[in-house]
Amino acid sequence: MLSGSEASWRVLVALLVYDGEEHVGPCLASLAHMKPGSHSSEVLILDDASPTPGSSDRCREMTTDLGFEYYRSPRNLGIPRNKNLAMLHAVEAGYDAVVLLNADTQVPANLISTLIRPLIENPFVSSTTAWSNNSSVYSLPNRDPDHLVQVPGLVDWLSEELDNEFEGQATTIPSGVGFCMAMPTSAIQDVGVMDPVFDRGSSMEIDWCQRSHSMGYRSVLAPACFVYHAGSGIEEAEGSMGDGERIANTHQAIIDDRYSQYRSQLLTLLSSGTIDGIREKANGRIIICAAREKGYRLEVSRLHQNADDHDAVRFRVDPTGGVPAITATYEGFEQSFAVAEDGVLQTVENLIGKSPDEIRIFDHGRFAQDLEADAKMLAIDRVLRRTPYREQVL
Amino acid sequence: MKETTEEQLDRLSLKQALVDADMATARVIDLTERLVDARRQLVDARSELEHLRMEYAQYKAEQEQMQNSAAYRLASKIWAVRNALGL
Repeated sequence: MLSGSEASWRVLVALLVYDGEEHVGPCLASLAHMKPGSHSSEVLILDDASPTPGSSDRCREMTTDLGFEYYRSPRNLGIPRNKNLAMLHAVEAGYDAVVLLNADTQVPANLISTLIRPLIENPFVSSTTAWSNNSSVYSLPNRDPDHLVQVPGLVDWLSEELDNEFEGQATTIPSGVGFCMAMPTSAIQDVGVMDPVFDRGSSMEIDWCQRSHSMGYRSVLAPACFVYHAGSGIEEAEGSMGDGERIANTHQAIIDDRYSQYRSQLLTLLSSGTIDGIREKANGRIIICAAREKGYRLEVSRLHQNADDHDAVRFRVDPTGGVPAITATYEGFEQSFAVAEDGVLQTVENLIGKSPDEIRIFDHGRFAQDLEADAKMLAIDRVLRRTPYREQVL
Repeated sequence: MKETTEEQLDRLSLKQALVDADMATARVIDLTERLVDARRQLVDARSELEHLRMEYAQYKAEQEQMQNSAAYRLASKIWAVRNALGL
């Protein structure tokens, strides 16, 4: 196994399927257009005996059409055993790493390179977790996440931009999140597989990661990799087979008993501002790059009008200057920027490097007046005024 | 003959299921032993608690009996007089 940037790893992507046909098709399509770069990857679908009649047959058909391997367990194994099957197969078949992927995801083209890089660069990393709109406490929040997969190529674009921003950055976290987690097979050989006591639950990754930490490994978040996660897939479906809440509480009690430090590690990380800092950088990168590529609109408004207008990059400011910040939005992502001394227009132009395509002034106020004056001075004639009456009632 | 992926996964799944079954059995035995031990401790603790409750009730009754005696009442009065006189 090579190390560093020269390495070329053989990676198994194991897609864990349990019904959820509405997710499986788009997920397989996203896997089909992965570009593993210098690595090689193979996709294995592990269907945990999906109970809906015909579901497994349709899944097998879709899978084999794309040239992926498909395996249906003779009976339902449960999530940890299905994951274990992927891990054991990866070890035995001589892969360097395995990516455990839930079926309610859509992956970017650069999944393999971004997720594997931290594993190659540091042999003491036992798992990397992808950044996502829905990744437990590590999420990059989005106002309308389902819209992300309705725009062709958007997940790829997001992940490319985040890769440009974060490159090989890896942030240590107390545990990986199972919806999309990569593990080197060398660590699996050391640590073992998931504990089946966590059947029908979601604490198995916490247990596995904490077990690996006790052996000197660490788990990391790879903010360079963005995976869409619907978050209503396999775990919820299989978890609902039993008494979900009671099981979750029991699993949490086992984690608390085994790893009394886990909760405090999590709280320390969250209160340190590390994750917030990554979020801020990520949102900033997404919005600024989109504005540079697509152009942008500057709005002076108290209300977030046309909130569904996701495609446009919008910078919005309060007309009165009561809130001295510019709120920028694009495709459901949001980031605030402080207004510099030289005014709103100059602040935004300095950020983006060009003038807005359009300025929309919805209401009166100090910022509105200043912006109108600046636009006039800079001969920006694309100013739309819409002030027939006050925006807000009170 | 080369094993297909399906055959390999069948074999791995079966092998792991046997390991899991062995582990599950060992865990059940271990948990049962600890449960039996914990129950024994619980029974002992309950029995001791009951014993202490009875002892406490007995002492309390004796104390009440003593407080109701003429000697105790007289001593209390003398104590009150001493306090009133500042002795």
